[in-house]
Amino acid sequence: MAGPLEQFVIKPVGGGEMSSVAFTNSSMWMVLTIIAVTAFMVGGMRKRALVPGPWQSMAEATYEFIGSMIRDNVGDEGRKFFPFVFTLFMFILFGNLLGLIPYSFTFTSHIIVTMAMALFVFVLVTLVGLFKHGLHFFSFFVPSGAPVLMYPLMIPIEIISYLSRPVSLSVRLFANMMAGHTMMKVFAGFVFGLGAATFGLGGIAPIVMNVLLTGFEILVAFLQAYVFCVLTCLYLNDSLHLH
Amino acid sequence: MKRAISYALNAVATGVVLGGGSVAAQAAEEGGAAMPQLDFSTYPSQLFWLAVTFAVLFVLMWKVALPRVGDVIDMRAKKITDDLAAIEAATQEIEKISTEIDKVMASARSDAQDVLRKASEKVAADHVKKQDKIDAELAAKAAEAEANIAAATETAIEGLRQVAEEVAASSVEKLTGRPAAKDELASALDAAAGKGG
Repeated sequence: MAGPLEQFVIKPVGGGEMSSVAFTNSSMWMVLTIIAVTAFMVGGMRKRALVPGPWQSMAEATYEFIGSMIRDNVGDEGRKFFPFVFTLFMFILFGNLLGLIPYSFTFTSHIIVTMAMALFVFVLVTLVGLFKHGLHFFSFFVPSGAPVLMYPLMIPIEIISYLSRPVSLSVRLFANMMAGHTMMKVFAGFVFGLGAATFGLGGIAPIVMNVLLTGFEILVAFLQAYVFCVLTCLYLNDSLHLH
Repeated sequence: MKRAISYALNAVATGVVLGGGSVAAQAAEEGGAAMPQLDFSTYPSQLFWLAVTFAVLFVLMWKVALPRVGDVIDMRAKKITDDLAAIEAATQEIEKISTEIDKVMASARSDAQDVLRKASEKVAADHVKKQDKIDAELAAKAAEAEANIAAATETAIEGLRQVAEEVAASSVEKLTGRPAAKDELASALDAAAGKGG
């Protein structure tokens, strides 16, 4: 039986050598994700109905959801980042959800993918801050209201906390996805282990557990996509408005 | 508020990581397999396809999907504001029309009263005229009747005189035995008529 970590192995689709542009199972699910997201959005809006049906309501609801997230956390200036944050949210959400389909692949369970997205957000946010405020942006690292005597201590802490943002952002998503999928696989393995020892009866408990875990993982899929985007919005807000 | 929520979410997420992490570590020890996530040979391919798919999705959302949703939402908002404006306009129209109706009704009422007054005045005037005419006719008829009466009286008196003349002539003849002188008789009758008249 396959080990719990085998589900994360990346291999080129249809065999072949790994190369820097090889189309792998991970790539395939990224492509399927953007197809699914586009189908969801464009398909939902195909009628452009004044009174929306269920599908159009869902498409509009995601639009409004991200729209209000940006309005609440960034304000009006965040409007121009709406397409980016929306894409980020849908890409992560659909990647997480499609990854829950048995035998599929969860590209968000790879640290390099989440780290790339987090670093992109980090660089974007820093550049936005620098363009908007120039060198004044660095006053962000000077804690407001703290006594000057504390600056030598506080400023390095602020800088470290700023630099750790991409790490926490990427590890949170990657670790959640990897942990969840590993756990499901481990419990699936118990079905055989316990089942064989107790004439099948013992297999019921891990199956029940896996059903519950699946529901929990759906929650996590939404939650982590949401957290990633809310934090992106908060970082954007910091860059645009400093303190 | 939002910050508090995101901290709470972080706490939940960290719990999941810690719980799952130990399982993963245990599994890795048992299976003896390294984490596929640390296989650096797959990194270029993952990064390449991430960049490609994310860029494609970004353009699709930015240029195709999101404008459509925005259009529909704007259209709906515009429709609602337009409808509200139409309601406002209609309400004003109703108000204008109702004041106009009031004005027309008031003028019609005063016109009607005018007509009524004029009609009653005319009726009264006609009545007076007719009365006068009838009075005049009656007066004329009365005068005619009086004239007739006078003529009849005269005729009757003349007849009477003739009868009186004959009676007097025959009485005189019988009394004197000779015919009465005509002129004496006439003057005597005249004197008697003048006395009587």
